[in-house]
Amino acid sequence: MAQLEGNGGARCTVTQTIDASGAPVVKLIGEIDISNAHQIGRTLEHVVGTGTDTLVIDLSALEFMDSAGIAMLLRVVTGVAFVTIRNPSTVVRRILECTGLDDILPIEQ
Amino acid sequence: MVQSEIALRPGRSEPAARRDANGSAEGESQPREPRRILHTVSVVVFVLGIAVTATLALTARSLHDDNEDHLLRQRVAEAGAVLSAAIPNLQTPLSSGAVLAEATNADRATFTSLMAPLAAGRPFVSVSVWPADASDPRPLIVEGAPPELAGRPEAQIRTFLAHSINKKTVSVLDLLAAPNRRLGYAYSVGPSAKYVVYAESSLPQNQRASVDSNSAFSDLDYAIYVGTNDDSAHLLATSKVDPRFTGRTASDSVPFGDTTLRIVMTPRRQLGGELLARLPWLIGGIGSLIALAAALMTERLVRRRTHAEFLAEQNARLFSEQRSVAQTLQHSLLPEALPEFPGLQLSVRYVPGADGVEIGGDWYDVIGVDGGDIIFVVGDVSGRGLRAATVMASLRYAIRAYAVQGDDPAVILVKLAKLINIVRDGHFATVLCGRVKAAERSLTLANAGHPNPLLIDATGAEFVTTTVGPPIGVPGGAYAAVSVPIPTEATLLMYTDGLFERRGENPDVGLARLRQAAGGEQSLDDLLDGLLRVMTPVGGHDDTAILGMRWRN
Repeated sequence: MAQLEGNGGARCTVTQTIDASGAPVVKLIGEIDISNAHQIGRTLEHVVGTGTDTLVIDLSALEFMDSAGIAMLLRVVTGVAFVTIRNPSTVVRRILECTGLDDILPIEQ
Repeated sequence: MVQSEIALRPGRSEPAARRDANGSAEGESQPREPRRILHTVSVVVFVLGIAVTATLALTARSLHDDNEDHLLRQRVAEAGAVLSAAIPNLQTPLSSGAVLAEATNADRATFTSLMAPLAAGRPFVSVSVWPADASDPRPLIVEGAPPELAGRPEAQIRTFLAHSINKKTVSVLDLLAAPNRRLGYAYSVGPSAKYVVYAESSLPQNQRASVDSNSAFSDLDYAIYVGTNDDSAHLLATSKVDPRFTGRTASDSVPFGDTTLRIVMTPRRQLGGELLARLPWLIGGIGSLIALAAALMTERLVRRRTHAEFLAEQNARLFSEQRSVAQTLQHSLLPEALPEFPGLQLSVRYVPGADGVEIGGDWYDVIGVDGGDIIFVVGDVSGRGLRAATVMASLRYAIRAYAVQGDDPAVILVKLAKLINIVRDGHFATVLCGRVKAAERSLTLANAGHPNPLLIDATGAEFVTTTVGPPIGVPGGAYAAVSVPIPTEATLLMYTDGLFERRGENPDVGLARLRQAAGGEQSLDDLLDGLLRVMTPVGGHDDTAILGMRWRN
């Protein structure tokens, strides 16, 4: 678990688990904006860096994510074949849909 | 007239003009840190410290004085007790002599055998027997030296002897003024006495009587007077040349025969010890040092605070300079003026985010192309800073190039997608690109992850539905244009998410608010100003760009 707070004061906690199918699950809890996106990106890169071809990103506890946060997620998941977004809040879901990213970051049904 | 302007958010305070230490207004030069020799608060601390010290020192001094007075009074009382104890040594031999004289009818042989040893100097130099009936005042028997009394006028002798008969105690005769400096003592057995025994003791000529260094009174000077006054004529003995003591003195009187002995004492040194005497000075010295140290400490703290305030001010100034640099750069990356087109009014607004230190990635552009068509763009590069601005500038000029080549919006977006890459560049961009087809009075729109535009006509405001592809920079995107007829009295608003997004709020809510606010008949400029005022909270986080197009009929 990593507590990441940027200069702008956004707080985000990252937890990592393995789900039943053996895929790594990272859960982002809090907020991501330009002030902490970089640090969270580095944390997530550790997970992706293990060579996994599947990644589940649990956004059920993510309250806010700005364009820097989206850019960070897009960068991290490049090279991961199967990426799933799990349980995003309505706010985050709409942000992903409005920006036309629901194909690249598909939301788990 | 096409208007292009950079709207700065109102009410943003600039650092107030400051003055430097010399009082001159701050100009282009770097402000200098104000220097002061001493701060008032340090002086106040010092003065308070000294005041407290002085009070303590004076209190210590007063306690010391009281203590010295008390000790001196005790010592005088002790000395009085010692003197009192010595007086019976004089009285006892005199009373024995008086009883003997009465019993033997003043038999010379008997008297001599008893009294002669006492008249050899100590305690007396002369012992004599006088008739109580003083018709002929001359001594009947004399042992030792001739009495001084005999040389006195007869009347005085008679009075003295008569006086001594009536006393139950020794009558003292003060002969200190005489050349031999003697004291006379007379005693008789009572009113029925036939004889009076009279003795004289000799006193040092110089009145001096040294005090032994190991005596209990070695730390005191004293003067003993016969009688009740400090009269040098009656000075019995003193330890000093000049018995007029100055400074701290105490006195006591003890009964001495029919008169008194008055003892006056003054201390040679501090009776309570030197440490107590120096205590006020110690307190004064140490207290002054502490006050000085406290003042210096205060001064240091005040200087530190002043320095910190100066640094904070300087930071605020640097911050505002940096913001101004960011805004200048941003301004230079946006079109200086928009081109003019017949039948079309254009207006733009750009508001930097609240911190404004880092340059944002929002932009807009309007390009006239062949056939009277117009390519227009509103875009938003993710993140902030110089890299985001660089990505923005490269995208903006690439779009201009593709537009001039005759590419349609969807083609432009497809080509742009090859230019930047989220992994390589670290940023993506949402872009809304459109073409106004002058001949067909319609427009086509292609969208790369950007908020849909708002179309306002006489019936109200509605969002234009576009085919939203992924943002530029995300690989694998496909873009398709939609065609939209332009109604009469139409206004098309394009904007970046800073206009409607609020942290933690569903973007649909912000968009609904925007649609609500965009109604009503007003000039294009008023519409844009009103939207900025209503939609963006003061201190809004994100940059905001708006491009408004209004068709005149």
